[in-house]
Amino acid sequence: MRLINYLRDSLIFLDIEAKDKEDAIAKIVNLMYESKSISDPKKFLNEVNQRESLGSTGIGKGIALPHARTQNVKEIVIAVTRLKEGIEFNAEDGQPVQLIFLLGTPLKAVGEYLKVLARLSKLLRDDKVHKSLLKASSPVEVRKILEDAEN
Amino acid sequence: MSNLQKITQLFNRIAIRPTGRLFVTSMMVGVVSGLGAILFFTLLNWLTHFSLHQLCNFFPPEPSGELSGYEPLGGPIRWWALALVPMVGGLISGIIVFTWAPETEGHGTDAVIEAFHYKKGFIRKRVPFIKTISSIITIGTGGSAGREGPIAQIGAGFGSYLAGLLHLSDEERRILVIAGTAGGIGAIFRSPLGGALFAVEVLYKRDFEAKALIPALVSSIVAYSIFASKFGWGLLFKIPNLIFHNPIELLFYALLGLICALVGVFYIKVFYGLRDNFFHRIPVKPHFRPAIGGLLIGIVGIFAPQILASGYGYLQDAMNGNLTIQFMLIAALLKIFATSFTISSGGSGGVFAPSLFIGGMLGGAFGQIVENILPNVINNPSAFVLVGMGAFFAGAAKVPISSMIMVSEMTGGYHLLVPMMLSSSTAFIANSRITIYEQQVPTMADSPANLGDFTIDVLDKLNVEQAYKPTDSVPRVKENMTLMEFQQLVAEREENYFPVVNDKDEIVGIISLKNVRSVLFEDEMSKFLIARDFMTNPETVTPAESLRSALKKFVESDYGQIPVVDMRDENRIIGILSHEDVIHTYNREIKLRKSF
Repeated sequence: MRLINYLRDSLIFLDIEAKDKEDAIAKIVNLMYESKSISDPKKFLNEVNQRESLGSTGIGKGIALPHARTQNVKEIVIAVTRLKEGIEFNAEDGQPVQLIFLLGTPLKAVGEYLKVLARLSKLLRDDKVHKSLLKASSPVEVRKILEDAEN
Repeated sequence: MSNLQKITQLFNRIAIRPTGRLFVTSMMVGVVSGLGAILFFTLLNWLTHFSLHQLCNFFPPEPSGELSGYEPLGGPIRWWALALVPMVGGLISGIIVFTWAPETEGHGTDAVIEAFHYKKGFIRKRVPFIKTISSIITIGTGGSAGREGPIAQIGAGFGSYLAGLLHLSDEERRILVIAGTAGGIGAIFRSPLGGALFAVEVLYKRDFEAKALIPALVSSIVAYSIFASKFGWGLLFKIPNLIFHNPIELLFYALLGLICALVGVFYIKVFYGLRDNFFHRIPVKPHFRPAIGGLLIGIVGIFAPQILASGYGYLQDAMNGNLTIQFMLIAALLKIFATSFTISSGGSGGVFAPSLFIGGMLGGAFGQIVENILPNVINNPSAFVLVGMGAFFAGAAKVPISSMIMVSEMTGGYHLLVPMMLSSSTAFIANSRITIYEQQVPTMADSPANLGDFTIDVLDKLNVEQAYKPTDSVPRVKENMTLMEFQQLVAEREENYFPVVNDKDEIVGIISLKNVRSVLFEDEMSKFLIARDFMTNPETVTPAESLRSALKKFVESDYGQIPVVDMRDENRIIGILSHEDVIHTYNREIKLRKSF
């Protein structure tokens, strides 16, 4: 499994403004819809929020991995978002979240999806990667940082 | 487009449904079986007249319903000719069979049974022709063999051929093979119901090929009607007025069944013993072995001509009460050897007619003995001839039902059905293993022919109720259970599959460990991953559901265990059904069915 295979420059959004968690997720879903990565944004948003209501996906250090299993995608889709400012996300460590990786996965691809999540959470816990991502100036740079980290 | 293609196309159009098509094809098979029976019978009569009447001046008695019309010329029997004619017949028939179809050695019905079970119903085109000619020569020159073998091959061979011509499925080919057997036998013995039942019964020791019954009946009706139109609608045998009205007699009929079973075992042992330990060891080419068998039977025939050919005329005599105990006992014993000489040496012909002879003679002798001892108990010893015929073949060939129906249809002795039922059942139960048809398999479960069907059939009849482990302690996983909590649960439990429920306790998914294994011990994820993230679609079964349906769910979902839910409350989990439970239950059922 290579994380890099799932990253698309068109799905990397930098310095998005959001006032809270709901707003952030709704905006990202909308951007995903605009880039034609998902088919039914309303339903997908609902699915992501429903999952979030069962337990926060804020994994700490200002990072969140909201995700949903959905019929809306045919393969695993990852949207990488950096917010202009951190927002409250009910994260484990209570810190505001600025980096959001939103995943949509087809219903059946459980194994693959879990591997992607595991890889992501491992990479992002690296402080160097974390800091570079906060400084990156373009989607291409973001992708490169993650690519280098994975290698 | 060739004419044949046009016909095939038309045929497929007018008979789209297999059942409708089978009706038509079975009728076609019946027509050929009936015509084949006419040809076979005519040629056999002609050869018998030439070889036995003209060459030997030997006019064996004929059954009342099958008079050839040839009057004895008078004068002594040419004994030297009688000793030699079967040998010449054996020589010619042996050369024909072992030159062109060596694999068809022996009696034809076995070949049909083998084709059904192991060869998808395929019969080589030449086989019916070779076996018909060689059987006519064997029987027509005095060989002790019957017509059921070759006539079964004629009908079955055409059924197989027709299926190939019309590009029918293996299953339809097998059914047409049965239909052909039914038609041929139903016609030549003038026993339409018996022929049809025989064809579906003879395939197994303890089973029926039920789905072929209607095609067999259809073919048999047609074949019988064609044959009888030519040779008359009467019965093969004429019997005195025999009725059963003394229950005490049942005791003796049961005893007769037992005797038939014992002698039947002896018959089969001699039959195959002579083949394997005598004829197969004679150091000559197989082509010439039937001649040796012919010589042996010819020599016996000089002293006891009643054992030559079908011997039906002597059976008629026995029914009429014209034979002595001694004559009948010797005839039965010698017929066992005569039949073995003829067929076990490689000659062609069936075992049905000789079996009738042996059973009839045994029954006749037994009836007279009992009458001598207890004159007031036995109504008419001739009844024992008929019952013996049916019971002996029932036990030797494992066909208890068709055997008595055939005897009843050949003689009109329907009043004796009750004693026949008892004797046939007794003979069948007393010898349930050793059979004159080597290719028979015990039950449908043992035949490659219906392996697929059979499995489905069994799985359809079993249900989840019989297979699952009821328990209240199936661990349910809440959909927001974290991976960390789940790790603990897994450590405590043996299951590989866990139903996931929402806060209303409804089943929303199933976790299979093999999906989760890769992340099970990833500590980074253990707090934020929840059951909902790693479950897959829910699947459930109810106790009333068939195992076939359950197996389908196992295959489609790839789960090894599926929760069993209450029929009235589909969210209440009452147990777990595992894939192994289905297999175990299936195996247990197969074992049970085979033990009958």
